[in-house]
Amino acid sequence: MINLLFDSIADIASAWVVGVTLLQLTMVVSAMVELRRLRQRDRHQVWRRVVGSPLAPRISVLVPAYNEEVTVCETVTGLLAMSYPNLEIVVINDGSPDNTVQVLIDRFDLRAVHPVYQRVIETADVKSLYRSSQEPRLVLIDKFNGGKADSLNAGVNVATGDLVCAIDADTLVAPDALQQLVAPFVTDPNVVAVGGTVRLTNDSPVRAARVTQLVVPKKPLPALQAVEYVRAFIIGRLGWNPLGGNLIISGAFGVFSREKVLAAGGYEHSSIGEDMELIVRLRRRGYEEGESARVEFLPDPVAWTEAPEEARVLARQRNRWQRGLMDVLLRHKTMIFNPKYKSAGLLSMPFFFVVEFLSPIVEAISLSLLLVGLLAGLVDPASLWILGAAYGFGTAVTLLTLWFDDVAFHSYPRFSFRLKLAAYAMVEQVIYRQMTIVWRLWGIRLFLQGRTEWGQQVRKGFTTS
Amino acid sequence: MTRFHIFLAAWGLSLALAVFYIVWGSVNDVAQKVIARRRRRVLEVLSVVLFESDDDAARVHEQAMQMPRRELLAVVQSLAVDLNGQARDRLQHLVRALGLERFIRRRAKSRRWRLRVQAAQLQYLVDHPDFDHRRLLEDRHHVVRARAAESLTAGQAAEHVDLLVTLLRDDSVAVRLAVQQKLLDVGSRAVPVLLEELQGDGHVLEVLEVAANLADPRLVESLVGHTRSDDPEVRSTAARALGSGSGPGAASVLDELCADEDPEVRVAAIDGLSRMESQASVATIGRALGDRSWQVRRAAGLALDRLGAPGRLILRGHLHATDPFARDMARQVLDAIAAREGVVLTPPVEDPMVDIEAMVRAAEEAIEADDAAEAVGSSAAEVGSSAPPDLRPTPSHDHAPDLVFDDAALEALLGSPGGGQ
Repeated sequence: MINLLFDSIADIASAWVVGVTLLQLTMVVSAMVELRRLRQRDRHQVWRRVVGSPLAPRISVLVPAYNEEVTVCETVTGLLAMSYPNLEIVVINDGSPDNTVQVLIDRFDLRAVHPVYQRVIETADVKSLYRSSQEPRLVLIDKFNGGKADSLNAGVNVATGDLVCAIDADTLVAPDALQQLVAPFVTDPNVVAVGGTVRLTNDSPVRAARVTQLVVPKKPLPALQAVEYVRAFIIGRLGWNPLGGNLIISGAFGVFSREKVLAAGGYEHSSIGEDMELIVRLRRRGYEEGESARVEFLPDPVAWTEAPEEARVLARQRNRWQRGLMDVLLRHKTMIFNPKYKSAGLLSMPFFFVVEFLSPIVEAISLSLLLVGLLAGLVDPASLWILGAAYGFGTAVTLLTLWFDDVAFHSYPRFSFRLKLAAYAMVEQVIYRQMTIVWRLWGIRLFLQGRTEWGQQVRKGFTTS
Repeated sequence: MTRFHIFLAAWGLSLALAVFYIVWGSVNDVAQKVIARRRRRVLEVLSVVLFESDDDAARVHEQAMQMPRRELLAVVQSLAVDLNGQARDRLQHLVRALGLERFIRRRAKSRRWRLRVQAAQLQYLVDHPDFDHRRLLEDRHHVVRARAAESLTAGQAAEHVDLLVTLLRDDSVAVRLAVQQKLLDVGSRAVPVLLEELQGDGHVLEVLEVAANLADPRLVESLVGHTRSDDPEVRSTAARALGSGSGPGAASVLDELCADEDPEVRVAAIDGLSRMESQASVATIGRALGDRSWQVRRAAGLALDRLGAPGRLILRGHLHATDPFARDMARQVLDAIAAREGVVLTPPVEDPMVDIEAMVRAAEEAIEADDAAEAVGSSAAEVGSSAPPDLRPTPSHDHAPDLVFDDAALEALLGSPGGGQ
């Protein structure tokens, strides 16, 4: 009996990996169809001109900052240089113990003002509100620490735009990104949120708060993440557009209808995955109130962010993501397989439950048993070939997304870059994948212990040239 | 097939994909570089043809005639539609010499909408009498209509302004926005047609949006009519349009709209009055500080700030209002002004009540006597003086301990509040 169980372990693990990879392949096909549609629409769009006119809706860009003294000025400079005509930048210092406020005051000549705004969403107390004498579009909120969600809520309260764009303080945004992200809101009143692609800046030269050329990071860990980001944004975001819309808009870069966010009560303070939670809540409210609440992803508007370069920082990030996912799945568990929530209930939520939540558990159990079985001589070593083949299939899908990304966006336009990416894609499935499983299991354990803290972030700063 | 063969097949597929990805990418890089080089060359030649002297333009004429058509078309399409004067004449001449005008006309009649879009993008270069711009504006595909509207020069748009105005009712948002923008480019030449449209019974919201941005006094009479519409959105847009102009009677209409039942309309009216710098309306706007809607109170506070000294006088009076909402908004706005201008405007909270009646009367009398400038000067002097801790104006100061401001006093002074609590 035990022999039979151990004999089938490798097959179960392989079947699981192949099953997940097939789901990902489906998403790649869906992404291809969607990209063709978006390209056709984009080629003939009139938005670039129209949203440059006085008719453009006002956007307030919210930049929550906690210990971001290294990158925040560069980020704000980049945002102020954006070509969007009706823009407001709201930086929210969430009680940082470092010099985040002071570097902003010095750089932009900020002065304290008394705010004229309505506190629709309850937040931690605001200490002071600053405006710049050089740049009237810039507002700084200095508040007591309350977490990222609390900071974003304070920003939503103070913002005067019809739309709010949430970005991380270590994120740089392409100059015309907002023009493109606004388009779905103008064309479709049912759109509640739109997200764009995030890419990694590590080792890429930055001049005047712009990434002048995207390069493959030199260190292996960020380079592996670069491969992972390409796959995640094509499979995990773009592929969902034709299948009923996304459940995730990256916290690093997304635009929301301010009215809808206020009506939904803002970001959930107690949630560790506040960005995903808000999206799921907005969609859920839409279904429950009989209104369509669309969440779109556009691949072209690009933001750049710094990836963790150390394994322990990356581990913290991944376990936080896992806890965030579990938190959202638990809060909205009634949506899973519930036809009332249409595509969100029947497709997106089950997908996240199976692929993102169950996957690390099933894979970890299978691999552990396999290892034990091999050591005990209970498993035929030849069965490892099948598991290896499953990972090979996963690698093929990753390479397919890299090629797809090259065709569509020409992101890494050099022979050496492609060589590196292809090499990292080949090793990603057999080293990096198992590392992420461990980090995610750690996240599951912490979640079950009720741990909700973020952990400290370490910023290196952009490579300015 | 053994397990090992399956393993080999899977990783063989991965390896093949990796090689394909690298090789395909490298070939594509070379192709992109060739295209970029050709396009750069086209741009260099075109810049001489369009912007240099006649001699220089003639010198590169031969090169211009031999430019690769595909790249030339791409560059010409991307050129700004507001290319005008000699540069546009020269580009038209070149387009004609290269036979591209005929090409554009043929594309405009194509059955495929994507080709008609190309024609719509290039139509600004065609002045041929046979070329029908209206045909593209009335195209059955919304992308073609939007592109056609967007690509018209101001002169071409002025010729077709009647059609553009009717397109403000198009089903497609893209078309409506492109047309709105184009009508703003046309400017005052669009006003007569807009007036006709405003007098119709149809959907006027988009027309009112254009009117709000054009700010032409000829539109006032018609806009006043729309402030009586049953649709609050129409009323608020009409109020915004009225506020952006300065036609006769607009201020009194906006004064009335400050008592409208819809808060959006009240906000638009208050904003309009402040943009028109209607100092006679300070009392009406002051009443709105106690409005039941926060948006209206905020608009009133900011409007009083924009109206200068008389407005600030009202704000300071409300620092001691019994209505906590009005008091709070007045303090916030005054603090914002103080931070901006570096002067202290708000007395300590524990100060005794001030005589708002006297303050309002002082402001109104100053305006009535056409002595607003003097009033502004004296108030500003008070504000800027080293008067703290008591910054209250002199007329009310003497009576301050005896007079208590409350809702009844405000009502008696300012009349029945329109949107009051």
